Amino acid sequence: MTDNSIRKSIYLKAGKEEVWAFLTDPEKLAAWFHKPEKTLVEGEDYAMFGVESGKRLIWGKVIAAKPCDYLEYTFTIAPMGEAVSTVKWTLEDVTGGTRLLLEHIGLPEDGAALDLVLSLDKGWDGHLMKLRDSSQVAI
Amino acid sequence: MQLLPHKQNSPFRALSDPTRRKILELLSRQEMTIAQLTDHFDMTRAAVKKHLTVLSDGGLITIRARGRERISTLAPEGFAPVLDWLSYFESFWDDRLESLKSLIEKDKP
Repeated sequence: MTDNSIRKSIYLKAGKEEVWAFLTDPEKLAAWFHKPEKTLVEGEDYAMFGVESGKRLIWGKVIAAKPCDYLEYTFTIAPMGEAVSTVKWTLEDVTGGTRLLLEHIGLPEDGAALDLVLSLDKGWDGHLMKLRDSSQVAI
Repeated sequence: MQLLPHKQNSPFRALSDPTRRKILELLSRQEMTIAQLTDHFDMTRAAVKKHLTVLSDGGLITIRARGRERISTLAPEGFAPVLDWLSYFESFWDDRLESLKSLIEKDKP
């Protein structure tokens, strides 16, 4: 795919309301993602912080929040610099649970970001080491 | 798809140290000798040389001889695996979604 986007879908044995809570509620987000200051609400800015470091890791604006069907927000992390990508979640009722679709679009072009990598701060050391240890880096 | 031959040679390892990132920053402006680089750090020439070896193993710089000097140059193509945001987020979301699934289905029969 050349449009710099990622699409994934998973099936969850849980109702849409419960899945929605996991996507928008700070306490629930903290358990699997990162913790925002407050519940994600349409039209509002958000920022998510590291549970241990307390550092701002991800931020952006909630473009749409249609409980319990659709959530869309802009998504920036520090190493992406000024680049703004967009994350979209779609929830669908299926027998016995919910199908959750993720789209992450508008990722920065490869190779345009040398400066970003060089400006990674100390907080990224551990993360890079983890990537290294996984050693599943495709080249 | 080819995997890195050995994780010790990974560009991620090369990048996982602030001194090495500083070296890359300096080299992004111009190629430099070990002596020139050492001037920028509060460490021995031998220590700088060690960092350069890791950077070279990670494919992020090339080192060539010029007379008795060794010149380090940035190798931008070595950054490709690190700059590939698509692969980065592919594995990021796989991890996250897996956590979400196990969490949300924890108490389900």
